Amino acid sequence: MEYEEFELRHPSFLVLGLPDTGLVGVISSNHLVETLKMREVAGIDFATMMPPVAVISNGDVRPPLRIFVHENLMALTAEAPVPPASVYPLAKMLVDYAMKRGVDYIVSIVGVASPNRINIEKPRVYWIASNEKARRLVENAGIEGFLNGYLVGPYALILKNAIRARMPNLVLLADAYIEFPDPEAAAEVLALLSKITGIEIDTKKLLEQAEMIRLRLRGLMKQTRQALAEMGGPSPLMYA
Amino acid sequence: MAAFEDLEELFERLRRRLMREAERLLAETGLQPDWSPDGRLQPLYTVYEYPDRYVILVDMAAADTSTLSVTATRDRIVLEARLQQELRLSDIYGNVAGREVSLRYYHHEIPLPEDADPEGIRVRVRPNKIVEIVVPKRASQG
Repeated sequence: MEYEEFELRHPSFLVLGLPDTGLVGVISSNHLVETLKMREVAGIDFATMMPPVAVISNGDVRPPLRIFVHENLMALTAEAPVPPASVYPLAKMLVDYAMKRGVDYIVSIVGVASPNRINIEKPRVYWIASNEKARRLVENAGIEGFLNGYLVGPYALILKNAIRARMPNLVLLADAYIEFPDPEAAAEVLALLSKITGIEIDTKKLLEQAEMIRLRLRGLMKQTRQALAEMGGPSPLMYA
Repeated sequence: MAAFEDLEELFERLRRRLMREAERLLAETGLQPDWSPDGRLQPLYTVYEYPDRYVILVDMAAADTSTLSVTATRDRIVLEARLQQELRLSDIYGNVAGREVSLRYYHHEIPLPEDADPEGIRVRVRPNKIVEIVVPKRASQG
């Protein structure tokens, strides 16, 4: 549901911050919302399929998935992991909504479970593109494609739905701690996002607050681990 | 008398083990909060198994890592570190609830598998306060 009218400038990007490995997407979109002072315009709730959670934000009741807008950028934030049963309808709905809204690119932000993350100073970012148009976005960004591996969870379905709907979907994957919130990985993705969208994104504050963010997101990280494990597939650890 | 005392001790040991097991199960289901009103915070951790060793990573965000102590016993690792500053639960979550709860330190006990050799542990603290603990496996096994 949309609760406020808004105009979206073009080329427009819908950035998805769903809970996943290292909560890289969650941290990235939360930072976008905060640093760009994005306006909350819409929310998603499936009465019977989302966890029984009401988000209270500054005294207002909000749905667990919220959409914010700033100029040509939309960001989706999540307060709870997507339960396995809701993954299918959610993926379909998000792609349909992006089409309806005339979004030019869906950008999914994901963590790649990287067992060696502790020895990596600067997490690398990789990409997967749903089609040629999405691929052109990253062609000159100087990053490697994600060539072989698995993607498990909501982002995998969104990618497949996007291909079917011919919706450009760019998946950005960053080396991340599998089971710890990883703001450093989010900062690398945001730096890249800034480069390909031309939107200035300051990540200094994100890195300064990294330890508090890690503390705050411990609970969500645990729930996400569980939800991903229930989704099965080759196991949430087998991205790479 | 001595026999009774032995029995009592045995029961006490069993009771403690049951409590520990119950706590662990509760923690796994996520029903138990990962902090306690006495100021203790439980860190997130992951255990990886390699052919010759276990590697345990612990996220100690906001800890004063100079106060970190890691003690290994035969079947567990006990980790403790003070936080850099006292944090209220309400400061972490930006909420009105939890103002009364001040968190002061991390404490956690991580059970070790049977073939772990706690004598050979190595601890490394990364600048981002992720702590890496390497526990070799006993060579004789297998």
